[in-house]
Amino acid sequence: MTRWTSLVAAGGANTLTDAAARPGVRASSAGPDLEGSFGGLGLSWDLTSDRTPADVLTASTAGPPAPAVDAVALLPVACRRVLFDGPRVKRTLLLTVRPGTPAEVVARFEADLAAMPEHITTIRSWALSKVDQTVSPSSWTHAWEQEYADVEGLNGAYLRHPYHWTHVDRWFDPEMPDSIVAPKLAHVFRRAQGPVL
Amino acid sequence: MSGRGTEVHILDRVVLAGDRVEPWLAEFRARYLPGARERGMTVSRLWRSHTGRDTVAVQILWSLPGVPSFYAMRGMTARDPRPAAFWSWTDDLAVTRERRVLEPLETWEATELSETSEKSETWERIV
Repeated sequence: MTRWTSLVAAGGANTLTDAAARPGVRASSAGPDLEGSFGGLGLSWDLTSDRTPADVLTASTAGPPAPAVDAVALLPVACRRVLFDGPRVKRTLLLTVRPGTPAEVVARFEADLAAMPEHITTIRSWALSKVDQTVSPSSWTHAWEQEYADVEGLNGAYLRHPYHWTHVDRWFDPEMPDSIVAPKLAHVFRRAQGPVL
Repeated sequence: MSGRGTEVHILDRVVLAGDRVEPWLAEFRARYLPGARERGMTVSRLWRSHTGRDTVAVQILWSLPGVPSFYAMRGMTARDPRPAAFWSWTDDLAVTRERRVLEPLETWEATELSETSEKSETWERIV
């Protein structure tokens, strides 16, 4: 079983509604990207399956054609599950560490990201993953995912915490001499009715 | 947690060979400063200090009015390759370069003064 996170074209909502019931699928959760998202395709889809997202979408012979999907196979680096009931906001950041970045520098970057929940208490469950290029080659190298009780937990506390903007952001800022992340990002967040991570 | 009103400071420190400081400052003023202003950055202070026999550090303290304006600036930088290109050119020229983003501890001075005042009063009582 592989956990996948995917960017899906906005017109594909109907093809995702029964994805959880298709063969080989353990879990499926999808929804439209909320205002403030950028770099996505309109929908984001989290899938745990022994089939690729494209295979799952084409498993149904009826209905509309499969939408465009940017699918990322996830290889866990660090994660924590925080149980809580009810709806939530699922956020996914897809990023690309520049080729040639030394492994020890990538490890420091990953450690800084994984420490964010120690500082930002609105982060509930979270997962930091590398992209498993052997399962599905992708231009993305990492996925940084979190769940929040509400949008304010992301757009308020997460963005405004000084650990974020005085420290972690330097890895992303092209003006910084030690920046390692390419400018193109996908920052998407959506509502979910229950746990995703 | 910092709020909307937290002023953000950015400190650039560029160490250059002494004879390269004026040419670098001329390029900085011509190529970087106008765009930085458009991105909401204001130069609060500009310093020069000798760091050795023939090297000089130029330090620039920028200010932005709040965390949202910091992210707005970052968004504009991500879409405009010119700031990164300027710093890449600088990195080829400079001995070292650093940039730090700073959160003001605005209550420090008041706290320090209060503690100093209490110590003085204690001293006077001991005397």
